[in-house]
Amino acid sequence: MKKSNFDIIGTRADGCDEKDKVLGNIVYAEDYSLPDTLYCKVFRSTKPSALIKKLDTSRAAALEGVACVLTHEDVPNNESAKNVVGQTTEVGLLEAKQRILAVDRVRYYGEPLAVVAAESPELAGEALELIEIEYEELPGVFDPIEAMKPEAPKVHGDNNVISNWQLRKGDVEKGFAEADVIVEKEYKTPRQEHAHMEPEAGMAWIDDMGVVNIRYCTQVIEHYRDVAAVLGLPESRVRTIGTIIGGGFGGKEDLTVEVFLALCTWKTRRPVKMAFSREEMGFGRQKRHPYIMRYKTGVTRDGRLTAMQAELISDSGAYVMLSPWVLLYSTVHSTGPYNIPNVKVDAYSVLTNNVMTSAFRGFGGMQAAFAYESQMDAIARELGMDPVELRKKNFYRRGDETANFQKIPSDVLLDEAADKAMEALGPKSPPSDPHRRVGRGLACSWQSYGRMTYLHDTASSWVGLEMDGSAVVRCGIPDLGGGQRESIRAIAAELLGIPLEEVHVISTDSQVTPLAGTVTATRALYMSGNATKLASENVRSSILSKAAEMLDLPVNELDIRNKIVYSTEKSEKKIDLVKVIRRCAAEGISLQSLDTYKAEFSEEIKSNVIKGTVFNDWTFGAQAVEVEVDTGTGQVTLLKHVSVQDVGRAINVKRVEGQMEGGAAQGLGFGMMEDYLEIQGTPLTWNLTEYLVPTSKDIPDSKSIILESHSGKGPFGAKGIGEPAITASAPAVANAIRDAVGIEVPQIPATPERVFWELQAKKDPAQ
Amino acid sequence: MENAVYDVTVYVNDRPVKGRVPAEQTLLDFLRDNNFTEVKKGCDNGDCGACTVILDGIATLSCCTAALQADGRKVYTVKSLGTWDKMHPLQEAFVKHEAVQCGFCTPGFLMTAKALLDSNPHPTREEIREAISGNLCRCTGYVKIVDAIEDAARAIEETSREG
Amino acid sequence: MSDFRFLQPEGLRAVLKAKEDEGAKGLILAGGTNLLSYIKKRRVKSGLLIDITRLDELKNIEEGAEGITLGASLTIQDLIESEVVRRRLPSFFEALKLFGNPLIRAKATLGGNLADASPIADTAPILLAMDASVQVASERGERTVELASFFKGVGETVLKPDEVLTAVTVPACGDSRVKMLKLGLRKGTACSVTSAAVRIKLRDREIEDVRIALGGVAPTPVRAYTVEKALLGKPCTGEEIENQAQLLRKDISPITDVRGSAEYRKEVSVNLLSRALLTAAGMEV
Repeated sequence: MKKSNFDIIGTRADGCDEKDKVLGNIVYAEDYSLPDTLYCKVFRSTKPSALIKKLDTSRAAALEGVACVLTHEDVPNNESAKNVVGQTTEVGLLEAKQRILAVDRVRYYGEPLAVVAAESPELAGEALELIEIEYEELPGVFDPIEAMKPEAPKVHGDNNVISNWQLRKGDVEKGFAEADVIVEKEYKTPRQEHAHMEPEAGMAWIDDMGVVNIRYCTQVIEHYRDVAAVLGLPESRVRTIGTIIGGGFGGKEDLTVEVFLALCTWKTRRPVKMAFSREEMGFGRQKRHPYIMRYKTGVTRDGRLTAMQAELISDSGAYVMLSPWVLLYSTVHSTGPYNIPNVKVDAYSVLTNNVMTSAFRGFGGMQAAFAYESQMDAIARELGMDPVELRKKNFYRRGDETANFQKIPSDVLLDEAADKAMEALGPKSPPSDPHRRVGRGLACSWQSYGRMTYLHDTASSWVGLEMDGSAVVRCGIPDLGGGQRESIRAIAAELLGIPLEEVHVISTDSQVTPLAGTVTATRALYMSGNATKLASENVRSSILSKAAEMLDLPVNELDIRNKIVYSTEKSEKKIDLVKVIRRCAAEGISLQSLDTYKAEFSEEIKSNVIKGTVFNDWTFGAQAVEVEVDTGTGQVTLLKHVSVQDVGRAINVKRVEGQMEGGAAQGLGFGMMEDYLEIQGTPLTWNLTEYLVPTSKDIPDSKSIILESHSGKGPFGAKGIGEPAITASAPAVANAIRDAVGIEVPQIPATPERVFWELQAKKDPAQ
Repeated sequence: MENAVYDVTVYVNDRPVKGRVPAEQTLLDFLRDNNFTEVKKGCDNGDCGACTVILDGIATLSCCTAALQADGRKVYTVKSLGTWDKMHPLQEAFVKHEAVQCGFCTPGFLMTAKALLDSNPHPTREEIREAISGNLCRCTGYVKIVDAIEDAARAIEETSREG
Repeated sequence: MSDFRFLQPEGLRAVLKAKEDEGAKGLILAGGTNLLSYIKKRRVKSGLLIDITRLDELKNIEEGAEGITLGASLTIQDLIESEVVRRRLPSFFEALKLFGNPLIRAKATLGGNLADASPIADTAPILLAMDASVQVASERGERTVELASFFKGVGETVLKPDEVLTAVTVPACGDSRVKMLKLGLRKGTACSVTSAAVRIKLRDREIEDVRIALGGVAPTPVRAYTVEKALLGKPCTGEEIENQAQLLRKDISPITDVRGSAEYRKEVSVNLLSRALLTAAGMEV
């Protein structure tokens, strides 16, 4: 493909929907309305573990203005049959059935028991209060380590351990014997809440062709299959129309409102609408898995890692959901981006009666990063070695083999990233008063992009030229606000040689746009970008063939820019794109293409010892932070932040920076203040008053440094940035705190209270 | 169950909007029920700022205001700020600086920023950060929002000097 | 199906009449940040909403030689913008900037913050340290209540069902120095884990008079009488202050909640108090 340099790719072009966003024109999921709509609300359990002795909805159903009250009896197939979110092929080993409405038992506070549809949201709320329920409380289990014991109450079936993954490479005993220093520590990470600004919401109706339409904010339009399975309908009779999403981060990946909406519209035959309240988003929606991680790392005196042994335990909450996968990610990523010859990891995910845990940006990679980067700094301190130098002695290089025996397929620019991150912090800030200490921390990360290879991931995209040289791209990929549509617009515009503003991307409609899979797993650019690239190249190829004929020139001499097909050798030889299009139309040559991109496929995983290719590739990066610690209160202030990421190729520079800054802020929240708290399975953090996310005063001016190795598998050598942006933030903060005041930070978030007690322990070790 | 309702007229973006509302209905619900869906409900508890409008010149949480408290008063939403053909410098700056990702928090931020620049035309970055600290954003990390507001302030000043 | 009614009163008299008629069911609606939230959460299920935000008579700022009187309906932002407050109560002015965030400050009122009687009401500690009193009105008449006697328990005050808080009076501080510090879990909007406010008057490098108030360490904002007594007459040195601040543990009864443990509050409030005293006394912290 003859493209010497790019006009659009790699620039800071404006996005396709930003103008509408600032004008207030976007119709988000809750902004849409239809005449004659009913409003739905979910009736949820207020006990974490109980039998349902009585559930009487008759008074609620009798309330004037209530159209229906549904329980499990009204659900044709109450257990969602799908194994895997958004998956198109069959997979084994990772069953994750989800129950729509509880039957005879509730297993977590907030479990849905019934759904109401009424003439107004207020009436729906009143109806909820009229539902009568009697619980018989059952013993519950709220700690995953307790839950692993044979005598623990069982959440489902007869074993609370629902997933176990292992890494076995080399011989760790031998490795530890070779080590001069061994560092052994335990780490804990919190339950993090997505806290996207837009609540889960949407509408459903049955259209005039008898199709159930669900218009809502989702990261997975393929959920129409789940809805069809639950309702007992053919998949072709359910359509999902994804809206522009007001933030997802994995929180809109599992089933949210769609099944409730579909059930209510199916029952009442009227349009229905619902939105979760912020409190409901707390206790009723899944969180990031909290982990307990026990790490033992061996290293030689000159800084070479010899062995790593770890045990990871994650709290799966009351239902399996995506826990086994998250655990798999954590296991593979548990070594960090370091070449360690001897590795032994055992990871477990355990059911409890706590809030559900499932997908969240990072998907298990962040928890591991907190552990492995904390270990690296602990080792550096033991050895008296510079933390950057230690890491450089151990970073992977392209072609190295990981602990799951796959070769790193792309360039690893971690040396450069680590150096640039620390350098960009600039001169060290002096403390602002005698109580405070300033410290700096670095963390390096690896985070996969693209789904696990045994899932046989594909994405499709359709590109077509209009008669006037503008173009339409149809692609199912949902837009989270990270620029998913923008990237494919840029790719099509670049390859078709037309202005960015003349490409329109229509996306996220399961019956109109070719399915491109989920917007998760940092796969959107990689998969839908590559699919769009294929389709654009095919259309381009048709144009160039015809133009070559019309100009009587060899095809490989031609290029297209600004709607002119021209010879790269003889500048006077050119033709308007529109003329070529018209000729194609006259000759019946189609200027559209539907293409499917396939990621690397690997064998289905059959053993819980992970061996062989699991991921397509990784994004490598580093973050550095400068903090100030108040030794009298434990408060930590972020003074400076830098993120350096190798994104392969930046399709849109502004977007990449935006991901780096936004991901870092979310990661810094994870490290410093975010903790979704429950006690005995009952919520303590109810809403955004108690669950603290960073505000503008908490995040300093962040520097984003983009590296481009061009070695990724995405379009034009791109990798992915969505998740990698968040992975290293929290360990960077923890390392900075350790540097400032020399305390252990075994647990995040590093709240003022935790830091305070560590400071006291350091002053008086006898305490 | 008294079910009292009251007449209310709120001047939204310079248009009278009439309704009959219960005492406890929030200004946010009143606006959204009257199709001003650009005003967002993020938390309905005063914690996130997505519902921010300008009421009598002050950036105001509409979820913490009863609709009847706005009776006879002027409320401005983001749709009063600019149009497709002529955006407000704040809107242009937000686009230029990529201060918008998912866009859900954006209308609230723009109203807070507008009220800020109306009362303090030359805010420092620290003053900007303070002024927007009641508006939460989960996507951007705030840096580009601060950049955009700073740039808009400069652009407004340049225009007024030229004018 | 609403269980609420609404009143837009013509003046304070109409408010008092409504409170006389409704008693506790007469719900004063000022900033709305608390009341509307309680209604949405079904903590308050019925009543008459009485909007006081348009009553100029509750927004007066009166300045006299003896002190300042602040109308209860003034928002925190109104107070911050007041030239009188900035000039006469500069430490109060600084403390108000710690309150919530700008959107909250534009709505929350002085009277609302006090009447809501949260243990972490952020205007309370500094007003307690300044010996403020509140003006209370009903159809039966008016009375003045020392702020130190105003709070009874979590969410409870001495206000009778027919009474309305109309103003707060802050005596002139003379040459006392005042300081308030607040500890939150993030730099942005944060409910206080604990807060400390002090007023200290020095004579010949001795502590002639001192007032100390804490928030977040008891069911109500409280005065630290033990520490106050211990400091009276003592030399104003860093060592003395830090020693006597340790006595704070006798004056407080913090709990463990979502924001922190009782032990942490106990320890950190001592540190915060020391700092507030040292800063107020103009010493190196």
